[in-house]
Amino acid sequence: MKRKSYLGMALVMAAALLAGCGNSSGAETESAKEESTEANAGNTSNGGEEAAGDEEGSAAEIEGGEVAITLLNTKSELVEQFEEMAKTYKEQTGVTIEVAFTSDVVGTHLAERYASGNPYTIMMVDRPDVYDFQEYLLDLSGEDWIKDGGDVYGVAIDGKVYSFPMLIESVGLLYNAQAIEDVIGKEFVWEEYNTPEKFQALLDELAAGGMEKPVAINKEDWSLANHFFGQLYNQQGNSAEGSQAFVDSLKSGETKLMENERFNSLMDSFDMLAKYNINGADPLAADYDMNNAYFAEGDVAFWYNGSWVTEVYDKTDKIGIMPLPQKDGSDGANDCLISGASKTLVVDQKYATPEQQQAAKDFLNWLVYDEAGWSFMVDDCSIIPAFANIDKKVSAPISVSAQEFIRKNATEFWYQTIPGDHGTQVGAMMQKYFSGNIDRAELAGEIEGYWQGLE
Amino acid sequence: MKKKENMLYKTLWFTGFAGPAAICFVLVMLIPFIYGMYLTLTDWNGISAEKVFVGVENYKAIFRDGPFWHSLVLTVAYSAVSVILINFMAFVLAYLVTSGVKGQNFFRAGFFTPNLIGGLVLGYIWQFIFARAMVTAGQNLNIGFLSSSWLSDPVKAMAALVIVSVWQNSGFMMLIYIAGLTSVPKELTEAGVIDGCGKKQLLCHVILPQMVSSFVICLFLSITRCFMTYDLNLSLTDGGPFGSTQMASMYVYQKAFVSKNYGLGQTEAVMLFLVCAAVSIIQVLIGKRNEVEA
Amino acid sequence: MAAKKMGNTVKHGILIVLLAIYIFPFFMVLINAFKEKVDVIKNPLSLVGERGFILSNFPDAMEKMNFFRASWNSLLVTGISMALIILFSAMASYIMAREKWLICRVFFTLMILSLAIPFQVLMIPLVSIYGGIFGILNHRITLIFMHVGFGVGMSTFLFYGAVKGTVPLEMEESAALDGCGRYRTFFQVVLPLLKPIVATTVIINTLNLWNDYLLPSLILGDGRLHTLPVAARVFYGAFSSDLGLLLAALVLMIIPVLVLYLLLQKYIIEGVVAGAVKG
Repeated sequence: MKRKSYLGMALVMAAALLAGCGNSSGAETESAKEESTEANAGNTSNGGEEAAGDEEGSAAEIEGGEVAITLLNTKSELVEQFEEMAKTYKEQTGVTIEVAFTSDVVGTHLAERYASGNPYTIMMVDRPDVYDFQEYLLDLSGEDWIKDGGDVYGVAIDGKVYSFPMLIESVGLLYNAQAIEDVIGKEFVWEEYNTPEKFQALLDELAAGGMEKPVAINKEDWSLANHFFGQLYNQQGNSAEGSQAFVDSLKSGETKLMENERFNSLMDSFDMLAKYNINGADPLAADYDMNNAYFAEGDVAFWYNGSWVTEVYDKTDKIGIMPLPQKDGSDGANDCLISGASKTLVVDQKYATPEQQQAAKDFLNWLVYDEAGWSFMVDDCSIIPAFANIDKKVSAPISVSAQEFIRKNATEFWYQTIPGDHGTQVGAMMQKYFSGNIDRAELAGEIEGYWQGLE
Repeated sequence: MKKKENMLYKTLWFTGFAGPAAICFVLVMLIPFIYGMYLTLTDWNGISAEKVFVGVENYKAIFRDGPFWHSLVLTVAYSAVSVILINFMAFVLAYLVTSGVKGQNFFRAGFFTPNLIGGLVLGYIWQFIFARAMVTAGQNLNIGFLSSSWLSDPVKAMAALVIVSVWQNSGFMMLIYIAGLTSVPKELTEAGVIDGCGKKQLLCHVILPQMVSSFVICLFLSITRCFMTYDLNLSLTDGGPFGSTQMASMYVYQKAFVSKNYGLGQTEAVMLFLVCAAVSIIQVLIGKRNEVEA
Repeated sequence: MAAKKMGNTVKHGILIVLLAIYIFPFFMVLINAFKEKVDVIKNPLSLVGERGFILSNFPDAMEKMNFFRASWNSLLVTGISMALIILFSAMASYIMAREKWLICRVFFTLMILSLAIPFQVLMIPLVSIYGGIFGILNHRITLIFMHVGFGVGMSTFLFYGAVKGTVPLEMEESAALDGCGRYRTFFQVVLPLLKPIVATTVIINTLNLWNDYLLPSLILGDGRLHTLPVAARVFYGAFSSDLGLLLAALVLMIIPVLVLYLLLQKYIIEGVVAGAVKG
């Protein structure tokens, strides 16, 4: 009661002042003053309390016995699909899903939301966020979908699964087969070029054939550090344990990168791509949208990126994704595509009511076990589902290409538990290397320093 | 007129005039600020319900955080250059568009437009200008310093930030200078003209002294704005190339929310506040001494 | 006389060059709002894109961001906040400029100092207190109240200088002798003299409020309450943004502020300077 009233006070007071202006009477101002001190006192006494659960603050309410939940979508290309889905879902089940969207950094956005006691029932987050927000999240270990892929792709902490893998994404070298075939005059089969020697020969052939700079490389830190350099952490025995052990050895200073075969193999391939980079003279002036346009129009044949790229089918559908060819082909580096559940759904357990939590679980089951859920994910959103029981095929060519790897089980583990500042820190180091400001030994030293500096 | 100036009298009149502003100010800025100060004494990660009180640990940790000081020095240098250029340009613009040239309204509206473009669009457009338009022109005309992107060189990227900040803020400050120029009492300038002042003398001895308060305000606002530059930093260079243009505001934001060290980030933000407040208060005090009382 | 004409021509020349530089980015926004995304990226400088001059960005953007609802929200929030800020801070600055009382000096100093507080310092405390403890987020009125709290500092500062610098004390004294109370003196004598600075402050505040993203995004979670800058975020992507629509949205958002500016401009000019340049 008191909580809400003080806000009104300021306004009532303003109104009182407005009314009192003309005749300059002292009465209003005196009462206003009293109110102000009262408001202050009320406020400071509460000021030190923890931001505890406040029923009012919870975003969704139960209306007339029916459950309403909120859902945060963080993929801008899926805004409309989610809103349509909410309508379908309401018709089918009677449960209202209020879909929200943010393009802010999701971890920051949720930090604000939790500080204000006003989170969503279901939230689409990146994997590292699951660890950060774990104390607020619902344990989903008991759900049916765990056995159909949730155990593999969901995020488990201390043996409990806290996240629902919304989709699988792959990182690798995108190729524009049409553009390549136009130059080399024969069909492009990626397996024929999956070693650095063969790949280099192809690049030379393309360059000689008129496509002077057949590669595009992004300058963004997430791309250089988390996706490209991240391959170093991924390709360690193709398992979570292998990657973790490797990262631990970096932290302890045990691994010396310059002596590491995988590091050198990866950087050799980087140098090779960089030599043919269309933004060559000024690699850090690259522009994501420009790279996208170069690739879509066939100005370049290859673009190091991932399966989320969609605006490239304007001129041709003959577009796919392949692993980056490396000298060190162990751990399936040249045959397996790095794939993992990047965006993942989590359910709030602190502010959501038990009914809402149940409704959220029902929704997740609907995605996995209801035809309408499949259709939403695969047909409407063109995403590769993480669940084995869904045998629907996607239609977007890059996703088709990635799905082939997944169906053949030719996937590389994607280590996604890197620290939040890995992107900015290691990204800056990669940019320095990329633009020729430091050499490989200096890069290795700086990256070792980053890992060892972590607490 | 004798006034009975006891406490009650003062409080009543103060509340009567400044009460609403003061209350909103206290509730929205002061109290959250105090709570924010409390958070600097915790090791909070920005997310957890648990906030462990750690005393002055964060304040000690600031001194070990080299990159923070680097970003702070960068911010000070950037602000010094920007503030001078912004105010110079703003005053020149204001003077020119109040001097009775034809179409001055049109010019004023034109110089004001930079304020209307913010956020991502601002960054996108200027990225295009620095990384592509200028490079194309530079290569075609063979101008060395334009032939590669300004945004991929640490020094030139800082220069780019200064240029955009001048472009953006000078139109804003121009408004305040215009208001100041138009408020110079007519009698004074007329008297000046009668006394045979030339245009320059009129400007230096009559108009400028009347405008000290405008200068104080504009300097103050440009100092605080430059010190806290965040949007521009984020959208134009995103701290790049390789983190070389990351200024203090962006640094503390990253510290708090990306590195998940809210306590330290908050402490460093308070540090930024202290530096910024000290600089701007000194400026105001110097300005006030020169102020002409009406 | 001839020299003066020359001087004016030179001035004009300088102004035109400067103007060209200043409005160039704005010009880019405008021409690119009528292109498809690919054309925006590939050739932002061409007047018309390869795929032709298209108008569809505007209706598309309006539909996607729920333009009319968001405009109404923005109008309400900006209008009310701005009016309150102007009123509150004009009054506050008057007492602060005229009395040397301790309380005036304390608050004036605090308000000025507050302008140097980075918003990051207040962001989380603000939502923790008003969301976590009081649970009053998601109301327009909360946003307005906060806008006022954040806005009074700078506006008071602006008015303070103007009251000190331009309002002659004698006029107030004679008004007092005529039996005017303090409020009447303020509203009938002081405020009219502040017209240029009121107009300036209105524009500055409107601009800040209308374009503000951070605070509304923190306070208004509910999509139905979103203001224009928050609604326009739907065109932002993690990797790549919907540029054509974004630019069209920006043009739509700019127009009202520009119109307001043009309307208020005459009050700013109405000052006394016309006399100063006669000579």
